[in-house]
Amino acid sequence: MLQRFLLCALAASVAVALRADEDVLRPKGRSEPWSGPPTPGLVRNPWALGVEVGGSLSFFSQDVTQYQAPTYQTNLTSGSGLGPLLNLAVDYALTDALGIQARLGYDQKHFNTNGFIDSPCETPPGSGLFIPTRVEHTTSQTIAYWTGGVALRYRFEENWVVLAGATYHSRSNASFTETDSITSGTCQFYDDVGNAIGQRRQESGSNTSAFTAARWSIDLSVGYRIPLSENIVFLPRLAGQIFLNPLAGDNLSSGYHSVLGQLYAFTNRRLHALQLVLGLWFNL
Amino acid sequence: MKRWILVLIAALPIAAMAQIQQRTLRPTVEVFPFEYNSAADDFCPAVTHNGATLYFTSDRSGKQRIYVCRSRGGQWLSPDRIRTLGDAKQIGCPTLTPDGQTMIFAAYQHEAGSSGRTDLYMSKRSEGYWSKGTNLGATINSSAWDSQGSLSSDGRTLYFASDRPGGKGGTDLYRARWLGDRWSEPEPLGELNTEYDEITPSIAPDDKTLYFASNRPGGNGGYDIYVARLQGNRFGQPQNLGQPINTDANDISYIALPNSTTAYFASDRSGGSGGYDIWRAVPNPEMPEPVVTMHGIVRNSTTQIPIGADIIITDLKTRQKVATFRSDDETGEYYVTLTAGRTYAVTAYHPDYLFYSEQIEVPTGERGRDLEKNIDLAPIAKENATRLLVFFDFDKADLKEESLPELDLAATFLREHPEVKVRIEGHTDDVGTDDYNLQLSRRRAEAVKKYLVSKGIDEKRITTVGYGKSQPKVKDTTPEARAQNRRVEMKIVAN
Repeated sequence: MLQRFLLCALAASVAVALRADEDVLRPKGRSEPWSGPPTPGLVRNPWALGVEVGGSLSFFSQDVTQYQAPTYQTNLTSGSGLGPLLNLAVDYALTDALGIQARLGYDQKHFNTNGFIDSPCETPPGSGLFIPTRVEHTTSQTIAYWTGGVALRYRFEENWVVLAGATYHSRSNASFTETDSITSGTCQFYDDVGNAIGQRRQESGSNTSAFTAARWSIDLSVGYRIPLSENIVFLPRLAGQIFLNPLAGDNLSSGYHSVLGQLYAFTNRRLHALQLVLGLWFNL
Repeated sequence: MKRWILVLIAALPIAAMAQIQQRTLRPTVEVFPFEYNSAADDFCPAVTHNGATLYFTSDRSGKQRIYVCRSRGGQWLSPDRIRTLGDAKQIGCPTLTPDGQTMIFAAYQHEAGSSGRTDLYMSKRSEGYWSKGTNLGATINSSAWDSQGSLSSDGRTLYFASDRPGGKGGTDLYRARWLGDRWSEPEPLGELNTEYDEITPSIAPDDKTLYFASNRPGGNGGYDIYVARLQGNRFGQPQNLGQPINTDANDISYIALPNSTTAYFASDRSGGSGGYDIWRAVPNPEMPEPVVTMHGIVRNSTTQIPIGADIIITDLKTRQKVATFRSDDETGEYYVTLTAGRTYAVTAYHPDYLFYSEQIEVPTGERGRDLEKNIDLAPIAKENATRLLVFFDFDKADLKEESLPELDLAATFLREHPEVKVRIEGHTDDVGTDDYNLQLSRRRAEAVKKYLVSKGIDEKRITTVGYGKSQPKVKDTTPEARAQNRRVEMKIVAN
């Protein structure tokens, strides 16, 4: 249904843009569709090259099913974070207002999740003395993608531009950092041989394979052109990125305890993003 | 054979003479591209009569919009887009009154509403900004395409192009006149229109020379620029401006500046920046007649701060307002074009100040003169005075009819400021006895009061006094000094 709607909207916008409107010089408009200027540019050459840098504000969410006594994982239902992006793009103007863009890029999605749990702590280990302790668990997750996308560009006001398109995300690598911090009490963490290591412990590593290798997103953005010279345009835009497939598959293994069985499970793991993109476009 | 050789020898000097004469009549014209042309279309140049500001249309941003360049040190500064005219799909082709304070432009799908297609709109300049355009109305604008206006130097005749039904075909040229409260029904310029397109009319500052573009047969190809001169109420046979103004490309939007050898036009010829570009032609091969212009600054007489005031041009013979211009709100600058053979009252009027009038005589045959006159307006305060531009027959106290526009203005001023009380002061020059001059100046002041009272002003607000020759403005006996000393002033005694 959504696809059909988008196709209809695309067809309508192409039809409107291709119609030769009259202007103050020509009562019948231009005799043939004019190929320029492209959205970011000022000149008739329909081609323009763009370099874009910016940031992705990612919004992660997942469903957490609790099977046993509460754990801090119960609280890890959502998180957000900022990651960098870089694009190289090309724009081909079909008419005064309408153009097609293609872009290749590097896009890093990043988010943090955290949760608390009150846990009795045996201090020192093996003493049989338990004191109440509050522990904060934070997971910092980064997933990097190589991206390629196409978009339809339409200028609806002199300097206002909308883009609608799709982007393919090919997973490059992923890494995580898990941090546990004791936020109350005097309890400490201990290493494997029983040495106290303080109230904070951290673990990092790669978990690339935990995430979906290929993802598709629908991208909608609105931008404003600021001509810097006749051939260079600064184009900041705000984009919304809705992903069509999940960030990762359902995770049952991490919540499985060999004795107690399934403690919790992560399912329906989603990530969408807002992007602020600063583009510099050069007319060819 | 010998005869033929003789004929040939005789013909050679004649041909050479003809060639020389041709060169004399037609100076070598050079064209130069405007420095701010873009790769998009740049066209419809319009220059204020003082040459200080150049407006043009460009779709460099993707839509046709009006840009403005200001001149500094003989150079054009980089263009700025005018953003206050209102939203429209296309905006362009401005024409301005000589003072640069009123603009008529064309727009397609303007937010102020239209008759369906491209229409003409008016904007006024205030405090440095152009107002949102207002549609010129159904008299001017048809349901067809109406664009490319050109205003005469008094702002009272509008030429424009339209493809409305009833023309000869394609786009045709039309003319409408301002009737004081509305535009007349546009009349087609049948003597210029053809079954082909006629576009971008531009009436020169002399109000007699009309430039336009047409793709009629017989040109150099595409649109060519033609000139036609007004003969009575009709234009004469149009002449092709020839090369290098016209080329096999499209050449349009030709404008001439007052008393200047420079002209501007637009062309999509090769060698430009792409699309239509604006070009400068020097010298203008078809100069309009020279005109008399007047310019200056309107200021507060106390603070010297510039004032945006109405500049009212009145033909003293017919007592008709010829034109109303306006000085710039920011700079106080004004600029008017005057026709030779008439005597004018040039009045600066602002509701917060005492008005000021000056008589300007432009003799028949006067050409190419630029008058400079700065005007200081006195604030409405006790003891401030303005000289009234009133006329009396020699030795008499009867008001001449030329005085009436000024006195009507004085009556308007007093009606707008009911708190103001004035004293009418009569002065004479030093010719004649003291007693006679005293009596004459008193009677003349009384005559002014009598007229103002006849216009509904309470006589208790007006006192009179005659000073004779006791308070000369200039202590001299030259004719010029005596003319300045013969005067009637209106002084504020209470406000």
